[in-house]
Amino acid sequence: MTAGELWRRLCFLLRRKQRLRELEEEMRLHEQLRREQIGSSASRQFGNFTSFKESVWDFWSFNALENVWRDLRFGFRTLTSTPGFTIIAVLTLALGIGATTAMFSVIDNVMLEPFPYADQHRIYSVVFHDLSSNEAGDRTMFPAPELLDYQQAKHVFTDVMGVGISRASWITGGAPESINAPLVTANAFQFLGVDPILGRYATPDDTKPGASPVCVMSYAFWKSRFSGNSDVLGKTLVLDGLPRTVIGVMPERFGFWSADVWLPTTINRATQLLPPWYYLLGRLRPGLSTKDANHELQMLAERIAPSYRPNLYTNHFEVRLQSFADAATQSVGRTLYSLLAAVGLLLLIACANVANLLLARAGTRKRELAVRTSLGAGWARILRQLFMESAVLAVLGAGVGCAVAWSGLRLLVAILPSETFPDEAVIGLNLRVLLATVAVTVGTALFFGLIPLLGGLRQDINDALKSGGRQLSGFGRGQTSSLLIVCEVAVSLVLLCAAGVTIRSFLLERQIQLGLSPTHVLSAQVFLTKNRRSVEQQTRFMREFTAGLRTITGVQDVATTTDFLPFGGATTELTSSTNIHTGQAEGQFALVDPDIFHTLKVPLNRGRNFTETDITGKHMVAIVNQSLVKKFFPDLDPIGQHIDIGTLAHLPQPVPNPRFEIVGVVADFKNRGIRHPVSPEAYIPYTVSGLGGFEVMVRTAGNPEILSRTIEKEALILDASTVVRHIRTVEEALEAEVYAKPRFGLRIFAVFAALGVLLVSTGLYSVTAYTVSQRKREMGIRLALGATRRDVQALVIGREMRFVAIGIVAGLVLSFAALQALASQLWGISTHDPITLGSVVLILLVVGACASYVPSLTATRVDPAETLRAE
Amino acid sequence: MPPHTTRDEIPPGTLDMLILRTLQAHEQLHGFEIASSIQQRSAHVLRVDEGSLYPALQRILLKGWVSAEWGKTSENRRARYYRLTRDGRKHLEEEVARYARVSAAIQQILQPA
Repeated sequence: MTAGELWRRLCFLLRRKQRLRELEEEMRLHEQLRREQIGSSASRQFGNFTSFKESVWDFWSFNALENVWRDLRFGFRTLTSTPGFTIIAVLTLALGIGATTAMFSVIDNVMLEPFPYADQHRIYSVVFHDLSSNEAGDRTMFPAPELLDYQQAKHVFTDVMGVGISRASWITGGAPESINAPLVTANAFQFLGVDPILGRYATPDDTKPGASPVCVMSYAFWKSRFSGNSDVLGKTLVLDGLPRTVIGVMPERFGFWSADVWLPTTINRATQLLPPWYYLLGRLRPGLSTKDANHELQMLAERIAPSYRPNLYTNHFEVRLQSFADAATQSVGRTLYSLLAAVGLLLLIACANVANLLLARAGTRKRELAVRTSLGAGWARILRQLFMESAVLAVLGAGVGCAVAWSGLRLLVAILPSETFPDEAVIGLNLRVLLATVAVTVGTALFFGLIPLLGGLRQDINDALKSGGRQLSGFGRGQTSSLLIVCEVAVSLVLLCAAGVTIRSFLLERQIQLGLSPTHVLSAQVFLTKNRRSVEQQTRFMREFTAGLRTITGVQDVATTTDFLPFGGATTELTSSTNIHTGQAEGQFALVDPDIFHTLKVPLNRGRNFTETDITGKHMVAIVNQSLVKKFFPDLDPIGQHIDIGTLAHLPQPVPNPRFEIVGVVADFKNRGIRHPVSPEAYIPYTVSGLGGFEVMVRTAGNPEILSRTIEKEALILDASTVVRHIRTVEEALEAEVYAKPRFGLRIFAVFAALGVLLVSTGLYSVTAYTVSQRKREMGIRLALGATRRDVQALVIGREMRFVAIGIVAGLVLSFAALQALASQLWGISTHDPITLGSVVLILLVVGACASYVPSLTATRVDPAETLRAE
Repeated sequence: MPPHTTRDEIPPGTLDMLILRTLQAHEQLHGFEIASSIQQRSAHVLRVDEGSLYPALQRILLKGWVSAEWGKTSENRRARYYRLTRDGRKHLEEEVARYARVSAAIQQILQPA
């Protein structure tokens, strides 16, 4: 059939009423003309219009399709005649397809399209890695001249933009308010390629000399502060004293840099190395591999290095690209992909189950099929009809599965740890995901539709007709269904093991000693506006503020730091210069006040705590942790030694010659994350360098959360322009940053594993029940010949347990390989942890025994006398 | 004996060819004209049954060998006129060549030895 012919057929089918009318009209004319020619006494009748039309219809229509339609209807009827079977099969499939779809939706949205930006997978940031220190962190921020240098790399990037982190104080209705207002280069909006929903976005013209300053507003800020009024365009915001005209509002999904407003700015070399520094984003030139691009960038960096030595560039360094989208999603990616693999296994079990059900049914329908074959139905015809039944099941399963996916997705999104993927990712069902579901459905139909066909129908028609569908022994049911059970058990064992090791790993992680006491401690970030930027002003504010907090009943300790502890310390290079040797290592530092150690209950092991005069006098003294002592002064008294904190010399407000005398040693606490070894850390008086923001940590006698409002109120009483943010207990923070991701993976794994076991047990149950029903005669004969009921029961259970055991062995082998992928996500436990494996095997044995025990009871109730009478 | 009393049915498979050949000789014809034309040109030996003519027309319409358009007869009656297409012309040539080959072969066999 050619394309043209197909097209004409379709046209005809679509307008078949008209076509048939035309045909009739044509033939009537023919009849009339003939009457006129031969006279009205024409001996021969014209014939039957209807039968003509039918014969025309026959070749106009799609015969094959019609047959398919007939098979579908027949399949549907057969399925409705056994509602129990159909409901179980559809639900099983819906579960598998739904879970797969939901998981795929999350992956699709989070991993494939995390941002709304144009061509987002070609956006890269540039990372500078210092090779001369052995474990330095990467530098991702660049001062304006360096950014301009990289912008020259037209052979690497088609376009380069910069974004600088910045807060601005917004004068509104009297009191200033601190808002998130990152500086962006003027080409940023063109670079990101998202159109505003209101007004226009900024272009390089807006930052030309003499142009009036502008800003672009985020959707959330527009909705919350301007009630979504479109008259916001043209309004003026006074930001850090500079009036800026609002020229546009970006769409809801566009949340670049979590901004309230974006401030287009022009950058030039005059600022030298002064802040603000910029995070660099470049769009990789099409056709250029990242390997070549890295090479080109390195050459460029070598060229520009001399003008930045020694502050920014050392002698050995590496410059490389980092994918913007990957960096944002890599932390959750591994978890999501292993969950996708898990859900795939679940779908496999579901398919195997349905295949088994169909297989059992094909067994009971042997006679029907044999009759049809003997009446002349070809094998192809019967196969097609059986396949159509599977297709109907798959489509029903997919339909219900979509509903499962939809509700499952809402559940997933609710428990997905929000800090592990970009806010700008929108998780929902979309066309691509639905197409994937269709693909999965077709695959499923093929899979479970073909297995019974291959296994169940290889038999002689004569036998089936003669025996009337009954068989003496159920062993004929055969290898296919047993193989399916073995596979199901094996796969569910892998799922159970994955869930088991994840749970064990999480429990072990929860047991890791932090080294400090996070309970009953509330922390809050305090931002001071720019009119309180000098260190003296900040210090005065913090002293008054903490003094005020101490007077509140229930408050036990109040401490000030610049970073959230335990994990907040800034990385730095540490250098010690004793008279014996000079040591250098990667470490970190935090700016604190004397109260931090007893607020967090970190014991002071040696020396003394800071004194009031250390704080007020900005003394260059440090308290260090045990790891630092072990690293630098393994066999010296650390008290009185000196340590250099390199980073302090390069801060926006640099501390010249940052050498500190060690006055005390505190115990280690987990300062780099719970899974990482403790990093050497030095604590210095917070007055040494002002950093803009502070963290206040409050230990209370009771539940600290009731103090949240009070803390904010106290700050505002002192200075109404203060911004207090991120008020949370340390336990909440740990939960969000440390435990949320493993707990998410664990929950989903546990649910999948439980569903897997449920499916396996129903599968095993149905197969055993079917076998027993097929072997009733055999059981009856055995009983008549003197077997006890216990013997019969043991026979049934024993047979099924043999397959369960084979499945367990196969699953163990499989899990050794499959679980390797999980290894990197685990803590303190190997992927083949014997306790986990042991309990999983036990669970499966018990489930297997229970699932085959219930149907085995039926076998014992066979009446031997009845069986013999029937012979 | 009047000639029309011994009309023969058209051998199966050749009707399409005859229709196409008829349309090749005329620019456009409606169904009745096609049937009449075949009967006349065969000296009333071949009878075109309308029960097979219209299904055949639909079939070759579907194949794209003819196109159809509604028009008016000389007596101002609405009729569907058929016209040979380029594909139809090509198909006809092939069919005629094939038929000539086959009928020549049959002739040879039927020739008295």
